Amino acid sequence: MTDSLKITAFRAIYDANADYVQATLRRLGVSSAEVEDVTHDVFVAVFRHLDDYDAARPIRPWLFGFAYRTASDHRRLARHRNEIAASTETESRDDGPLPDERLEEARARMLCQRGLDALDFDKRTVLVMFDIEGRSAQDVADHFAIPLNTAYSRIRLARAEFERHIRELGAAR
Amino acid sequence: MSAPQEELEPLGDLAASALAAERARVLGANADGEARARLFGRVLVTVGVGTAATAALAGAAGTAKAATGAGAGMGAGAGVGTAAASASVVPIKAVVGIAALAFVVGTGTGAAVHRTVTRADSPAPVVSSAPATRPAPALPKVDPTASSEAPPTPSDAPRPSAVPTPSFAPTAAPPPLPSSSAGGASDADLAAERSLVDRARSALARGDTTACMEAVAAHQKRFPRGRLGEERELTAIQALARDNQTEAARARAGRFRKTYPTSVFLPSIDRVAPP
Repeated sequence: MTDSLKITAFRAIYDANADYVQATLRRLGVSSAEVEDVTHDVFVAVFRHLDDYDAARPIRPWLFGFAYRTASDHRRLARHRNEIAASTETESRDDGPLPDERLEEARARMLCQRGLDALDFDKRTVLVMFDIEGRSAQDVADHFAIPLNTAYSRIRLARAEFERHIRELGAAR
Repeated sequence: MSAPQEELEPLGDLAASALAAERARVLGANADGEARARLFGRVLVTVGVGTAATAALAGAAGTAKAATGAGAGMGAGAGVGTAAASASVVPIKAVVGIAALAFVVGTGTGAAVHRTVTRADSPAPVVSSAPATRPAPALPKVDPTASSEAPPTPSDAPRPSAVPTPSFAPTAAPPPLPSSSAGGASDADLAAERSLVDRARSALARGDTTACMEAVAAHQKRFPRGRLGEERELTAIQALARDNQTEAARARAGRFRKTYPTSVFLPSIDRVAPP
């Protein structure tokens, strides 16, 4: 691919998926203050691997791999730990008055985010893949390079812990 | 999710509704088109095509009009399918022309140069290449046991950040950008341009439209054919609209649309000065 064609293709991918990548990073625990920088890193990696992309496959699972790795690297850096811990506060940004049902939905989303924040990174990833993105247990198994049965038990564990936190958070409201 | 879930117990109502709400999140609902375009420019600069593209554009077309002409001819489709899971896929043929794209590139370049200039104490921006050393295939394999002892990756190196830098750029020549092939002199110009436009934007952000228009005028005088003219004009139109100078804003917006018919800023312009 020539540079300009590559950039054009990249732009199309970016336009269609920048929001998805940002949402995925937030779900994986990147704070709202840092999500733009980390999104930048994700797309830099995507650009560098653009030639590896198999157009016959859906693009979002492919992008998820980059988002996961970048988020994982990001959280390993000690200097980010505090910010990750503080990420629960950031979702409650006030977008002005909302109608009741949207308010309820926004609350539920915030609860979800806080429930995710209470999990370790692997469990969090499992829930995001399986219960938010609707990927298959086989996808989870492939992602972690584990047997399918193990993937199921991880899903069970992640769900159980998530439920426990959600119940506590819900009761505390 | 068919067969697999049969083996799992159903989630409780509260957890199920929380996850459902997150699943239903409408992506892009609060999308800020400008911020997104800027971020795209940053990415291009980091991967090194930004500066080359900008240089090519600047060399080929000193004026924006010529640049848009070139863009119209070059906006051919590329052959990469984007099979997005659910979102509507942007047809590549409909992707904005190269001219508009190159402008975004220019903006990003300017910002990066400016940051480099104003933060001379820090090394040139380097970006995480962690996934580059461990390519992420369609289904990335990860050893979950390795995560705690994995070595630090280069991603803790400084990278271009979106930190606003409203200060005036010093006159020192900027160090080279990563993978940059652009000339130093033109980078210095771009840094000066970026500084003026940043000054205008930060003045506008704090509501000081007078200072904003002063910086706009300074940029216009010093760089009548500058590479950041498009962003300057956007800022000027926003400032005029904010000052309730509706007629002036509309006139300027009209010229903008003629000069930059494929601008990524058109939606922003339309918001404050409808055609």
